Amino acid sequence: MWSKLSIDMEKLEIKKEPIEKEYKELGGRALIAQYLIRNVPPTCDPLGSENQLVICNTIFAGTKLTTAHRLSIGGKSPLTGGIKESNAGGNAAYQLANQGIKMVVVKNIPKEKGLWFAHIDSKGNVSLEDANIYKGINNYEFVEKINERYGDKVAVISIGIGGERLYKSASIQVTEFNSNHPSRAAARGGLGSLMGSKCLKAIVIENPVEKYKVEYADEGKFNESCLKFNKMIAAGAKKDPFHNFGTISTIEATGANGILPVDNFSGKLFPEYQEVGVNKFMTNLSARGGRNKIPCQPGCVIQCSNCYNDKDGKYLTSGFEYETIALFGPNCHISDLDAIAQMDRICDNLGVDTIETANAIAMCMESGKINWGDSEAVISLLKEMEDGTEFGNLIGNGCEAVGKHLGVERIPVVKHQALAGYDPRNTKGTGITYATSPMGADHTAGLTMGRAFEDAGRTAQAYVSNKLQVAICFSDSMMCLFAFAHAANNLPLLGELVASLYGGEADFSRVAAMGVKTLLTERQYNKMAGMTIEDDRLPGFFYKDKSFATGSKFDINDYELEVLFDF
Amino acid sequence: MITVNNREINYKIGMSVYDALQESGESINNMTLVVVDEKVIALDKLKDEILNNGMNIKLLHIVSGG
Ligand code: SF4
Repeated sequence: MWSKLSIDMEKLEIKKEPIEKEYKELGGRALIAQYLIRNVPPTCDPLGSENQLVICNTIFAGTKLTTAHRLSIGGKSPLTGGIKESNAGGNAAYQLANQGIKMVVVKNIPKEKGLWFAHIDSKGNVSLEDANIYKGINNYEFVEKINERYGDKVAVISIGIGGERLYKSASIQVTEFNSNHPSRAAARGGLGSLMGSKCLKAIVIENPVEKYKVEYADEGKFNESCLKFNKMIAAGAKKDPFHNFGTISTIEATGANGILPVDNFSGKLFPEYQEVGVNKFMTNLSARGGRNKIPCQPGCVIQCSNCYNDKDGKYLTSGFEYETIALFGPNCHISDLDAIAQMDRICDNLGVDTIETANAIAMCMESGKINWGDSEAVISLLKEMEDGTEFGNLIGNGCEAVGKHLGVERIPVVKHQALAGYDPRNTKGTGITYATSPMGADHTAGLTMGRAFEDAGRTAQAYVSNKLQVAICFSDSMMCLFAFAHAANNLPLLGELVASLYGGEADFSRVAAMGVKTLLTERQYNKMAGMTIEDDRLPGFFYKDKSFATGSKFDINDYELEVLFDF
Repeated sequence: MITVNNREINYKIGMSVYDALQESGESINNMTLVVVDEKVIALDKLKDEILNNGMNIKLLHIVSGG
């Protein structure tokens, strides 16, 4: 039976116990929603003792289903003040599954100051270790030290100084499969500061001597469906730009049609977008010994990750993604891919969300504090974060904090969380998702860009956003979103997989119902936390100012947003 | 010969990427990446990009956001 690890930071003890019956068949985002609504008071202080950090595996953990080892992390968000689930690739979910651990909860805060890390050894013993020697050490150096101490087969979930300083933009970093670089991030919503508030620096998971064996309702049937599923995803991957180049390929589409944000979501086009596009990226990779087609977790057939080296061929960053490139790039009027890669590395190292941080930097440019396109000034501001200057700490608290401080009018946030790399005036369904998702402005919650119905009018946009938001709720409970994108043509197969694993009806409707239940639970949680329909809105300037690229405004009215989830 | 998504079509001197796509009957939209010998061609440059005999065109479709 799957285990749950409860880490009590007040008592400084860890308990390993069988997972409760009600969570047995859940995973990922669905599990987090159900756990939080039962166990974490929605009105609690996100950095206080009542909040809990929940880290869990997906429904298909421990199986051979491709991308099933996605790590979900949740809690009441220090940034949005609402419910939060943020997921990451890497090797930690796989290693937890090998240890037979479905879920880790971190409760309470220590009575005395200090820093600890949780250690799960190769025999499955768990302990809390003193981490004071690692205080103030960032993610890359921390992982190196942990590798020296425990070997390089461990998986590490850690925070940098962003989390230690309780920055609202703080991420939780996860080591990537094979390379061990802490470059995979559960980045959104400031969950790193929640982990920091618990004084937990890391969770270190060793490879177990004996691997946990999953219990199947019908193992033969599961293996059959799993093979079918994996073949389907592998076939889709061949024609997927993410497999061929990585997520950077998104820029080739968004750059041409006004979806790529430019100069703080000004609505302008960025004619040099291909300077930060695929051709430049691939040329740099091959000239400098970098690589693409890297799986961030074992068994991924899409393999969208990469390893990007600097001009001298020295490792600079990995998991170098579209969002980071779009937001530190064109949205800050920067077209130097190497400079953006350096910013990505700094953010991963400090443990801060690149989306939140890049938007905060755009606030500095909009206000005139630094010039548009000045990458050196950006690096200096990131250095201020590292040094913990007053302004550096302000940047650490995200886009809204910086924008308000500098008197900026156009602050691109929803529920206090900065927008990802898509201008909602030119992908309105995505704008509806940004506005209404319980997660705040989050592209992974239901990105409608590129769907056939994109030009089909407002009702269709709302319909697609609604449908995708439900679908992502169950996809985030099962696998990586990029695999799910290829599974959409055979959804009944998901029902078969769930039934052969847990028993019961092989019916897709149970999967869909889990998605609906998750979304409604999250919305209920936010309501209990004090959010109202007024929080389900985009910033005013998207309704008022036209996109120069297309002439379009965000014209979905309040009523259309309000009825979106009237089931 | 020009290859478009593993299908061969006849090469004609001066043929552009756009012409080859027309000839092949493959459809594209604004989420398609047109890749000619591993290089991405911007969608507004398809008519300007002249092919040489033996070139390989791959059409990739973005199915989710990065
Ligand atoms: S598709 Fe990319 S992000 Fe998803 S599991 Fe594979 S490598 Fe990781």
